[in-house]
Amino acid sequence: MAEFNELDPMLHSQLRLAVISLLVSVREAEFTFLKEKTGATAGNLSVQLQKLKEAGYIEIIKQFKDNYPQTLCKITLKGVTALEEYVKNLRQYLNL
Amino acid sequence: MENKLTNTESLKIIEQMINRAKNEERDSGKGWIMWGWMLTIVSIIHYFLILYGVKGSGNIWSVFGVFGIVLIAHGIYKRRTRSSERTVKTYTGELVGKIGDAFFISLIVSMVGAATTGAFNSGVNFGYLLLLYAFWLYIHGAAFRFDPMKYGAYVNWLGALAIFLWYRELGKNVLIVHALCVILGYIIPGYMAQRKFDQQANSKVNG
Repeated sequence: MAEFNELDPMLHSQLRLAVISLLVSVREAEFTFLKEKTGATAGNLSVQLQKLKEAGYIEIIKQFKDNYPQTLCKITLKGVTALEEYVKNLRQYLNL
Repeated sequence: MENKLTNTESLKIIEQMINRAKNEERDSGKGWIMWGWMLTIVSIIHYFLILYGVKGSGNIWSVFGVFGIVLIAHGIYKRRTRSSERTVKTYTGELVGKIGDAFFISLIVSMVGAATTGAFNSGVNFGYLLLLYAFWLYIHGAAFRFDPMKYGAYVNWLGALAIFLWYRELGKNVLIVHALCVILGYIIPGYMAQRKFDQQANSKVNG
């Protein structure tokens, strides 16, 4: 019988998975972009971004643009590898 | 609060989000339309200058080159302004932008070269220009997954081949071939891209 690997709990959450999937497709994205695309509230998104950052899956850059604070997010190599592994395990579960 | 996910839902989220990010990079078509009309008009003016025996008619391309440089500088400025307004940077956008810069620099240098060496008067130079257009159209069409631009590239490659094979027989008509290739390669796909862009913008507003 085939052994199933456990799905990464850091990614097995609706919002964190959505954020990582968005970031894997772009070079960098602003907080407002992630908020618009995921439909999440600012508070919830901030919390989940912080968790992804602590796991080393994303990089968060805080800077000023035209005198306004700007939060940029980028996926890290660790984040890309984690998503690839997650998809691989998911396909195994779904027998794809 | 975190929602519990089923495996199928996970896969759906990944697919949805990747598609949303993919659709971020869109082409408004405006650049193709403006540039296309400029090239077509200059080609036709050049054709009539030859027809009426105006000497040094090829110099019209030098004037076009100067306008071109101004337009490119304006385009680069606009792109930078727009880029600072955007909330996302994509790999496609960045790569296409760089290839676009390389294309326009090559085009302007080639036009300056042709104007100073008199190559515009021989007609064969238009074949090289069409090769350059086809190269850019094909890459742009592939990057934006927009087939009309790829078909435009095929037309421009065929036009280039026709000019290389028959430029002596074609004479001043190479300018008509050039203008037709620009209409089919730039202007028509440009209007199609503009229409698609407007439809997407409207659906975003309504949806």
